[in-house]
Amino acid sequence: MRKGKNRKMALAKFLCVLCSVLFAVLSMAPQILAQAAVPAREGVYVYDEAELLTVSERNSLGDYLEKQGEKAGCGIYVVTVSDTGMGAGDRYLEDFYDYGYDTGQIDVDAVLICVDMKNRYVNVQAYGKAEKKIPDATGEKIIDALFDELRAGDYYRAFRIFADRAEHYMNYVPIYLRAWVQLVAALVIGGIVVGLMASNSGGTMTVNAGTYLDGRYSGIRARRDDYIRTSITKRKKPQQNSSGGGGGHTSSGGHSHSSAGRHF
Amino acid sequence: MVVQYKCPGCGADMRYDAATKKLRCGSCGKRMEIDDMPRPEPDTEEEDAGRDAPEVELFRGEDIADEAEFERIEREAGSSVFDGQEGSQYVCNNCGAVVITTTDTTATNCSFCGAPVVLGDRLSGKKAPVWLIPFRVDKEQAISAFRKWCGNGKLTPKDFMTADRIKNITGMYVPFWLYDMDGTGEADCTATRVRSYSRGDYIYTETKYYHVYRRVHMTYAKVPVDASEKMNDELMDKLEPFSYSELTHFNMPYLAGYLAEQYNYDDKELLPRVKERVNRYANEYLASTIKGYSGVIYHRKDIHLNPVNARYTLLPVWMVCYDYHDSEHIFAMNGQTGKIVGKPPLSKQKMAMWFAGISAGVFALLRLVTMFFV
Repeated sequence: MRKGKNRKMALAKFLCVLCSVLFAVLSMAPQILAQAAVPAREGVYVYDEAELLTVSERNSLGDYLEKQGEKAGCGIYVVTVSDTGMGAGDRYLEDFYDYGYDTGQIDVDAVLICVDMKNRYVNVQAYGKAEKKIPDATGEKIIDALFDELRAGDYYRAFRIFADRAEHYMNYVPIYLRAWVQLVAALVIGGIVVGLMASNSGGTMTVNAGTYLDGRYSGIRARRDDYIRTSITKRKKPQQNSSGGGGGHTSSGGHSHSSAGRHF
Repeated sequence: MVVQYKCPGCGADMRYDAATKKLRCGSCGKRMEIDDMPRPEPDTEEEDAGRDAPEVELFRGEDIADEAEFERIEREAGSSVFDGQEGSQYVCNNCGAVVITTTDTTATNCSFCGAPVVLGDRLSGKKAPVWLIPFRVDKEQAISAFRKWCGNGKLTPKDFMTADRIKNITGMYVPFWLYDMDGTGEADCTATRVRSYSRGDYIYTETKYYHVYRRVHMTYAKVPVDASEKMNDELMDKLEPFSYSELTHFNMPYLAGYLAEQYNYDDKELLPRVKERVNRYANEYLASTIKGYSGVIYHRKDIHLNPVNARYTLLPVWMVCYDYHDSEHIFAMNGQTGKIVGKPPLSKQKMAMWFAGISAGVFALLRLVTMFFV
């Protein structure tokens, strides 16, 4: 008997340990995976062809982009151009990424901002892992955040904001995906299930409203279904905000990405 | 008035046998049809004539000769314990011992010689049951079904699951009233149908309003309500349903070998309980007639129920007394269908295991989904 009890205790202890290990592993796993995927990041993050920044601004922005990119787990790039040689659109930045991708100068997972001075057009694109995290709508939000600065010509500040927002969205975990929230949810579900099991263990009522109703002598004696009126309300369709992709943009190099852009 | 059923072959006591639906003699194995058994003559009061009483079969002379003598001890002067009919004492025809009964007992076994005894005078007149459902599950089946049920409990302690401490198991006819009720229901409400569709950049929600009226007639047949004071109402309610196809007219030999009680509450006293219950059913029925709408707002809802019949009926129940860690647990089993109800003890350890297992499983699943899909 005592032996049995000891074994049970041991089993219970083992289960506790197993559970806590499982918890630790599962809650850490995404971070571990993310870290494993981060390559050493060296290189240029600022491509200031339009010369909107001073040299010291360029250097300090480059360091900042590198730092934020490290935190975000992807490359964050700033591109400026005085004349794209084409109209406003996604094309220039797509080509830029394709070239950088082919030459290995740009991270596969990348968030890029391009300021086209001739067309006065700003474009944010996200590739690879970043495409999911920063879909079109999120790209719009990033532009919203820096638009005033951009318009006012405060490019340095605008790009700092870009780096901050990109990092923020890359690391953003919705509340229902956080480990502790999921743990609480799991505990609540476990409690409810066990509670139901306990309360049903004494047998349940299996008769219902229909059991004793005698169908031969029961039924509707009179009914009325009079139409009175119709009311119609309308609301605007929510913006397509599919988390699965960037809304179907593909560069000529065949890289799928998300894109947001507007004139400033 | 003590009624005992003697085997015409050997004179031993006969009991009702659930398997063959006949009276069976325990010593020579002779079986007798219920309807062939003699009906006892009421010795004191006149039986209330009519009122759904079953047809009476005539006695056969040779059977009466086999009956043992019985007598009734008169109430002693100065005794206050026994009062009126409740004070009746019964003597076993076999051994002459006083049959120990409570005031509600209508059938029992002699505590000295074990002979089945039916107390005829407590089953006549106003206290005569109209119907009865005989036992279909016999004692052996009941015990093995109970064992099996204990073994299935996911939260019951392991040493309970072996079910080896059944203290006693008693086949008992529990008094019920079966009510027939009819009634009308009326509902006046506004109901809506909602549909949404999109055109261009907009989503349109169209709500159509209807003025809806329903008048229904309802008949509820044989709604059982337990009429015994001793029995836990909730437990008895959970025993349902009984299959009424086996409902037969009451006949005393069915009780031979089982315990039986008479009702403590008459049909009028239990009316509020059955009304409350049927009212609930009627509300659900009325609501179920308003179909095809997405929302219903009631302006007026009236339900009138009136009882039509109430029939005193004995329903078969196995009561299982189980000793577990110095406390008694009572279970009831439907003697017709074998359904078991009653609160088994809960094992804290097992509950913790299930809780941990389910929580860990759900958590793992959530994390996996998060990892692979986000």
